[in-house]
Amino acid sequence: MVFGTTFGGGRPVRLSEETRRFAAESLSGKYGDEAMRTPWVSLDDIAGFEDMEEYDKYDAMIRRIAERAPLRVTACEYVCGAATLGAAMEHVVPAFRGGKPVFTSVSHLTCGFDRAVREGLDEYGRRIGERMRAGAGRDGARQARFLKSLKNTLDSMRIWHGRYAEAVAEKKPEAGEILARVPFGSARTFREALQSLWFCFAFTRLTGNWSGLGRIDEYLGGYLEADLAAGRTTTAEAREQLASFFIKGCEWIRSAPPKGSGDAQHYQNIVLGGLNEQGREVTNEVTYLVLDVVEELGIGDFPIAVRISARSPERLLLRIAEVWRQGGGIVAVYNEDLVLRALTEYGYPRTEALKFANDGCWEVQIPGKTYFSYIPFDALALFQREVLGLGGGGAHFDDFESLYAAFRTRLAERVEALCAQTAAARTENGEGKVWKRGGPMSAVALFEEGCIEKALDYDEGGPVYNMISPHIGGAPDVGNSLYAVDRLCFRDKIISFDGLIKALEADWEGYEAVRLYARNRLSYYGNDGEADGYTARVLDDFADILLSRPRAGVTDGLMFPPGASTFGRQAEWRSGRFATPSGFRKGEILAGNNSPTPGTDFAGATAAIKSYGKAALEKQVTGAALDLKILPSSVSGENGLSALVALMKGFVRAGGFFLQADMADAETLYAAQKNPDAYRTLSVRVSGWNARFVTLDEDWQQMIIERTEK
Amino acid sequence: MDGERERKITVTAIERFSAKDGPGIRTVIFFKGCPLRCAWCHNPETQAAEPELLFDAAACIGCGACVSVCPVGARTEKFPFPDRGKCTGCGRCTEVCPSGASALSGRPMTAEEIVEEACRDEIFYAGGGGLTLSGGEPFFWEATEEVLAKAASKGLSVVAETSGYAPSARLERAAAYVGLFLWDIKDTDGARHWLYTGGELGIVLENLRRVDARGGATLIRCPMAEGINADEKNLCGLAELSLSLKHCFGVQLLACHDGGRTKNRLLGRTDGARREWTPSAQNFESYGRILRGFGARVWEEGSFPPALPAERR
Ligand code: SF4
Ligand code: SF4
Repeated sequence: MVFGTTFGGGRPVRLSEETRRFAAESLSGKYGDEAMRTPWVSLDDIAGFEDMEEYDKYDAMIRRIAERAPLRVTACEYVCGAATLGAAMEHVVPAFRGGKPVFTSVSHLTCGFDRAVREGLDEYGRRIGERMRAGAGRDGARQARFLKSLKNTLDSMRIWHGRYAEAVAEKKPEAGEILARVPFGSARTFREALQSLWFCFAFTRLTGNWSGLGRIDEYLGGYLEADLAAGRTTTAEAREQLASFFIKGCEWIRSAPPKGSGDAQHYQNIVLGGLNEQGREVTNEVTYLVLDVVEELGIGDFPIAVRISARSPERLLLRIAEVWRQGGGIVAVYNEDLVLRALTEYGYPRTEALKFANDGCWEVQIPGKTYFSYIPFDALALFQREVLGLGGGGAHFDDFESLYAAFRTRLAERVEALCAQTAAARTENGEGKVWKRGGPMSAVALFEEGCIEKALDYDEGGPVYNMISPHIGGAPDVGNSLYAVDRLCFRDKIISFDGLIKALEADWEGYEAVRLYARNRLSYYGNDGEADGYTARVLDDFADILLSRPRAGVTDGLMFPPGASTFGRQAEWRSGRFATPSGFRKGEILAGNNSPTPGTDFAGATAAIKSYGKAALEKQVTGAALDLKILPSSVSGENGLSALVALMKGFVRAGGFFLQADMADAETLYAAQKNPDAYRTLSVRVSGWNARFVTLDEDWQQMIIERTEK
Repeated sequence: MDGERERKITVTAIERFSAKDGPGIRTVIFFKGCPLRCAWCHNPETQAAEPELLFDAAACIGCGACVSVCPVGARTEKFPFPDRGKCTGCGRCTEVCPSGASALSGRPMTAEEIVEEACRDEIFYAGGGGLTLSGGEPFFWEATEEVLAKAASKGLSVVAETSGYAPSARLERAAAYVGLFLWDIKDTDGARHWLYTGGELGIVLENLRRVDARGGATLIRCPMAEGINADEKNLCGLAELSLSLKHCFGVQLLACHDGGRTKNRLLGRTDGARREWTPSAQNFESYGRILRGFGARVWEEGSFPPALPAERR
């Protein structure tokens, strides 16, 4: 991230100069670079390490990290503790033997830090001790060892905490007093709660894990309200302190990060707003302060998702719209009521469902008590290879319904195979009940409800809920392909079925007129037209296949809830795909998540939302996302905000699940100039005039790019 | 014109999710047909009332499909450019053209269809959105009154972007249904108005007063074109006009631009706004200030007064 782009023009200034400077340092990669200079602590001097049992190794590693990781206390910070070992960014435990990592770490979860804040970690020590005395279960010795590992982990954390408490007390007496109490004692004030939350989070990060944070406004809001009422703090003070939390969260940003899936994506998601367990709206002062901070600093490292509904305060929606307009796609929204329906219909009690956050990305889970992973698969490649028979001589169908029936059968087989393989790999009897032993993960298990009680680690069934979610990828393009086959071969009769297979095998070479017909004359998913029905059918059938599998209650064994995503895999999947009946050639990047295929959504954002909402998205239990790109100039002015608010309300009414709206940035527009076909739907709006960006003359394009840049 | 034809309106484009054509999210229906010929027209394809052929030579693959279907021989094998003299705009070539190089601007729609189209985005109209009639000149068409009545029966809020150059009685009747007129005054200098739009200012003003007398809410809009109407005299006139009306919310200035160029090219035309007519950002800002100085309420681009649905007024 370049400093210059971080504080782009037009961002409001509310924070102190000092805090802003601190942010600039962090965002420019100062601390990330520092961490790379001390990537790991060495285990080389530990005699007989190779012969140690796994948990002995793990505990020794965590202890060594706690004892030796460099400390960092910066002048401006209000919360202390830092994940200073660079190898943690590589998803491993940063204690190395012979220059090599020993254990990988954990991501795609949100730890239950809120409980640690409320109770204090001393209480955790007491609970572990109690559980140890109660004796272990089926696998006595191992379970007892795991409990001991939890205790050792907690002890290591105490060592790390002691080092900080000393260093901070010396440099920053005020912060030192707070750190003297938390996280081992329960938090009493906003600042204590914030410090406690950060310290627990920082410890899991220090040991290599990437956790989400969950509903921090719910966790912290009560503390702040009480402080404000008692006159212990002010909103401005609280904003500075919260900003510190966010700035420190950027400590893994490097000045020259390696190329990959994007800089600093460590799944540290935050969820805001929505109902609490008692059914009351959570949105509070902390909610708005978080939005203030990310709006001002443009920090995208804690992706934020807000639970919205018809009940959402107007002010909240307006603030989301304002942050949207700053660009960067930092804030997304969940349709809260639909997600709640998805969870309760799947079997979660409502009080549990009400707690939902995500796994640090956007897959829905009950935070602090869920084991989660997902299995992505490419439904388009499946359709092309196994149904159309591309790459293998080609299949033949006489009518649409028999084609579709073949697809549904293949889909069901694939989904069943994925579940069966996973159950066999992860559980001992293959039925998803008794888990196989995994690697040690005590640093996160400590914060996962169920692990202490069951005396089982994070990935061996410890958490209350355990799920592995098959995720269908490429559904929009399967839908579009089905629609195109139906139109081209069976309804409009532009080309015979066998002819189409030949054309696809030839990557459309020699069939340009048919390809263009398919590409230009048919209107696909995302335009609020008939093609949407084909995509919805694919999604609904996929969900039904999983939902109709026999399963027990949500707390009993391994669950396989459906979800839909690509998470950017549409790029790497290209090589396994063929030309599509919808007129795309092999190698073109197709739809991401549940969004329209690039270059096919001509009817704008509202139509895309309606198309997306046509599937019964409440069946996609772990989620299905729509990504929208909007040109900032089309939502400028006061009415632009009203329009974005109205767009969110429409998204809720359309039955959407998860919406990530982002402003097209200058980079997008440059890409559009280079590859107009993929961006030919990008719409430019000026009063009383409309045009497609790619159809404009170059100087007009340039002008719009300039407007987007400023 | 036969009865069937009369009830239909030629629509050239439907834009959903517009935040620029009235309050909230709006579905904008661009009507074809305009009695004025503004020199800077941004939507030249809306001037003629009949469907017109748009041809994009860059997209043409030379497949010849258009040649075989053209009933008047406007397309020939060697030369894919349509012969504009012969072309009747029947649209047959556009039905077979695989590449979209030949496309028809303008499709006849009934009032029912137009309102249905707007209703598709009903769930997004919270906070004051709705249907916007634009063009072209929406009141060029008799059937526009049907659109208004049907929209009112659905509780839709209607905004109309008008040149005010239409039958007075039609506009007066429309005042009962339209929640907000975005009323173009191209210039308050009569001679210049005539020179650059081909229309008489007096008619526009007379209609505006009549609509105002019927309680029609208006926001006056003027495209600022450097060297043409962007001067104090015009700004003073706009301010006076807005203040003389009972139901006028104020004035919104727009910057003249040459964005109609692409469309002119597709129509095989070379006219349109000149680059030098576009005011600089600095000048444009100063026009707003001057206007305010004359006492007018100025609405920034992208901000609008409310437009209530007919039944709620
Ligand atoms: S629109 Fe009709 S008349 Fe004009 S070129 Fe096409 S087919 Fe011929
Ligand atoms: S049908 Fe279309 S692509 Fe083919 S020659 Fe005519 S204009 Fe060109």
